[in-house]
Amino acid sequence: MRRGRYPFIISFLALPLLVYGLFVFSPYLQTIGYSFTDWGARTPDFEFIGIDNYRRLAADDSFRGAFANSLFFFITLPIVTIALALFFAFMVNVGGRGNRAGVRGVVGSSVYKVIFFFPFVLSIAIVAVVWRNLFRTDSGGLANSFLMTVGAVDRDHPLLFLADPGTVKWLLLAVAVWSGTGFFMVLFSAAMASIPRDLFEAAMLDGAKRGQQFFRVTLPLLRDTVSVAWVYLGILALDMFALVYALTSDHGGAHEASRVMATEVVATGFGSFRPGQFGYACAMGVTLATFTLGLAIVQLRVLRRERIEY
Amino acid sequence: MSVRPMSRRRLLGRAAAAGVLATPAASLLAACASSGGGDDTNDGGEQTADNPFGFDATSQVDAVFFTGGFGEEYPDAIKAAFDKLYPEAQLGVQKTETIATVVQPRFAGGTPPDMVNNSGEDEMDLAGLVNDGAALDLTPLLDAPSLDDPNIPVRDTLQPGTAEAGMFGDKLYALNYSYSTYGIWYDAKLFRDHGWTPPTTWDEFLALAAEMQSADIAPFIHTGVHPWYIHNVFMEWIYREGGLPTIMAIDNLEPDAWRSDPVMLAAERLQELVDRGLVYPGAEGLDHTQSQQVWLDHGAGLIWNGSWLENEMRDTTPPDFEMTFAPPWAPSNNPATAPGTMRVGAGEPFLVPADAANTAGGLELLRVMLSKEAAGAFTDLTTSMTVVVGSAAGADSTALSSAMEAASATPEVMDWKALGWYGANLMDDALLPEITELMAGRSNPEQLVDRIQEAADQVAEDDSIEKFTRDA
Amino acid sequence: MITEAPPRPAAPRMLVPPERDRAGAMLNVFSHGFLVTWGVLVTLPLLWAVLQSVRTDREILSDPWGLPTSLHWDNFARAWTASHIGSYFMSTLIVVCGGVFLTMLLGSMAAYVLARYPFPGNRLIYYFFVAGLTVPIFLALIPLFFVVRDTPGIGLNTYHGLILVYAGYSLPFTVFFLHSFFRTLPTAVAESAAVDGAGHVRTFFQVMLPMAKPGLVSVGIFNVLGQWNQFVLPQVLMQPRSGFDADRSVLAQGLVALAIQQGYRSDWSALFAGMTIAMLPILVVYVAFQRQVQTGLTGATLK
Repeated sequence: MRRGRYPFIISFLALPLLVYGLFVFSPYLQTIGYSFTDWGARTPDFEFIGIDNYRRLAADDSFRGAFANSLFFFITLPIVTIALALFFAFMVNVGGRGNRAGVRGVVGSSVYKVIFFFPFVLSIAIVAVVWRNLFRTDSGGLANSFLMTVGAVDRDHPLLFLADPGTVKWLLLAVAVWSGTGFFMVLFSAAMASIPRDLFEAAMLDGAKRGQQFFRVTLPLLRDTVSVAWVYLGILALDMFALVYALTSDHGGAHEASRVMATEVVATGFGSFRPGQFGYACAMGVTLATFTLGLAIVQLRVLRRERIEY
Repeated sequence: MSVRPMSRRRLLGRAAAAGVLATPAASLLAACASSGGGDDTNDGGEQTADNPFGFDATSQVDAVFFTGGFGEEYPDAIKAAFDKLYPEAQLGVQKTETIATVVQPRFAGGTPPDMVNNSGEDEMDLAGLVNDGAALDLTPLLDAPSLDDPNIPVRDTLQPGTAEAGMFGDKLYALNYSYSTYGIWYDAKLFRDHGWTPPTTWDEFLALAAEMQSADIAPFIHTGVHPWYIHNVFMEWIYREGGLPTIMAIDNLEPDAWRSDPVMLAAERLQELVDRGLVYPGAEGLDHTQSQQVWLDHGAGLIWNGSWLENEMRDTTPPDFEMTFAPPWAPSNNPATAPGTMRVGAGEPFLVPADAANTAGGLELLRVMLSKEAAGAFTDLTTSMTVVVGSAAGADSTALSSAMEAASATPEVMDWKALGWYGANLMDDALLPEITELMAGRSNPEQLVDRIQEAADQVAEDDSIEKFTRDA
Repeated sequence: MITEAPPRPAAPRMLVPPERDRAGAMLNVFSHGFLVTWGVLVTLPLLWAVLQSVRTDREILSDPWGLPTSLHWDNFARAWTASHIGSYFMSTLIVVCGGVFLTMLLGSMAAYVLARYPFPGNRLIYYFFVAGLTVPIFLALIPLFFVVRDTPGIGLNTYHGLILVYAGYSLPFTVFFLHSFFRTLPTAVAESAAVDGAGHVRTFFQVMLPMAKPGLVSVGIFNVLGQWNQFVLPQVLMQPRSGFDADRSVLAQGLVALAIQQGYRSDWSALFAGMTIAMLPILVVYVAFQRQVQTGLTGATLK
């Protein structure tokens, strides 16, 4: 034990803990507290009402609808994003012509990696403006005008895209995938690059074709990375607040098809002043957070496995 | 007669993500909210004829303006007028398009501004503020001598109906500043070139629609993203068809008021617009500027809007477009009201928070705004009328002159109150979502009417909601 | 008779002779095809946004997907001054520089101690930090507003207030990432420094931090990206307190306000010019540091 250990530890942890505790932890704690009250956000008075808010939540139809939508994204977003990201990472790392040195990636892979990352780097305001214009519901929108030109859509019945309850969820998914795939592609690509070449060469010597290589060699070795990505995407999917808020005309409100739990919380808490709404919104928020945390823990436990040493 | 002001319009989605904050609650932990600031209402100095509110001419006045459709320049003009009169005062002008985001936290913290222009999509809930006693009674403003002629009280310099538009019970809580006409707009040049005239009956409309369609112009366009616009068409048709008695029944929450024939007819006509393909394809997903631009580019012939339209689209209006106003047509061929019946009235509410530090300053600022000079500057910059009579002389645009002409020639002024009095329940929960569904072809007239009636019945039975009535 | 297997060549000249690698060739074309398609999908919308910044409002609204007829550079000037993008830019610069610096300092301090000094409660504190990753930010907004407002010395609409809040909310990710990084650093160097008489603090600043540079750069870049685009926190905390209080809005917040404003006033061209101005620095930073970002991600996978 070196001298002065504990003073050092304390001094180094004090400030981070203070900042974190004051600005992050304490507000979250207060929100939990308010969820047990009937604070209506218009007057300073409130009363503790125990778990009434939670009971009300369990019976709330519109929250249930939002819950179902959030679940939709929770299931689809990770699958689609990871599949695409793996696919592209594979192309970039391994999809080139074979040559003396063995397999290699396509030409210009570093360029691809840079470009694909762009959407991740953009502010949500930009993403929203661009996609809302692309999906404009008359012939002035690129998507509609393109479809009309090729005859897939009738001029008198343009597609409503984000304004159509039937398609809005899928489009939100598409934009989320568009935004996130690049990041995960780069992540997987980096992970693939750290797999030693000998393994691939050994596999090729044994006669494995590229497809077999991918499924039998690469994928198992990427398992850790993929599972972390899955958990993180799950967390993002349960959030989706920024996308739904920015892309839907009523911020995910009137169309039940696009409400998610996150927008429900904000709409309830900030959108109306009826008595008792704010405490209720806090209860919603706490439920969402617990759910997210719980799922993440479960996932991590299920996916945990022996690490492969190589 | 108690009235609640109609919000000028609701444009983009409601409350910004974290904008609308509450009055503080008692602390749970040490760093929690503290309750509101003190009552430092500055009643100012002595009140004289020149200085009816006892305004301290060297004090600070803190005002927040909504700079949406009317633009950013008019607050500067008002500030110039104020500074000229009170060179030693300091008037701070804050401009924003999201009022609640900016102002609500200040209410919550006990430091509200001295004057607020409560408008736009992100406006604060005025009825709520009044109920909490957070809005100052502005009746002294009406009784004060007007700036231009001290022998005349402010009340008498205003257009009829201005005061009523901001009253709850018999107190005035919001001073509405702009005097808007609402109705149908079209391009007079386009109409002239084709020999068209604005319709007054349903058959006339159908005939015009047919001609427009053969000229490859959609007869009608609206914004699906903001159903507030089309709901006005609906209400105007109801009034046009049934007249004041129908609307009064609705306003007074009489049973089955929404199931009357005029209402049913109006709903059916909306359905007909959709079924006959008379609406611009894709309108359901367009916002107001997009739909207005389509109309400016002759993608559609008729649009419903208010007199802020010209200013809002000023930068993108084609040079030979003659923006012209027409009163709404009727949903049948023999309605209860005469052609030309339209809605015109005061909009754009300004209020003074009761707990402001300098309420006298807020009141005086309003009084300055109601002078002919300031009001004239507003009209020059925005080509919109103000409630100050005689301040819009010399305005020069087809939009403004056609609107003013129609307003002065109208045989009857339309107005309805219930949607303002019980806005959250009737509008947000029932009318707006249902009319969106109807116009998108996913609903039917019966469902629309049933849903609104249901909401109205709920309001009637709910004792926690204060009720208002009208006799005339 | 001696039978033995024919000898294998010691090292094959080629694993897969090119002329026989038809599968490889096809895959190559296939790969390029997909990659190019996705590349187009990614860049087209951005290119469109940048193109709009030199058109007029009329063109943008009437014909959103047409090409510019002439270059209207004045949109940029208008965005910078009249639409206040210039001031938002400066505010963002101040806040992000301060925020990232503070985040990296506090984050590395905490991560270092947690990674290399076992003590009772170490694991608990680590999870305490990491738990922040899973909870959505808007839950904390209202109480946070009051906390910031009422903490003496801070208050709303202040740069230092926002910097502290940014640091707080960036700590979970930073601590999480740097923790695993510090773990992998060899102990030998630290021990020899101790032998030389260096105290804990000196060891940290003069030995361990320099060794951790790749990880620090990666995390730093991620923090820059995240804080540059942060919207919700400034929206709540950076509203002027009165007509006399300066406007310290940051870019993301300002852009959204601008987007709302153009909903009232159709000044699309300034909006797109503003968006372009906002996009460019972050793209430049990313392109310049993309190698570090990738190294950082590799590090993350080697836990």
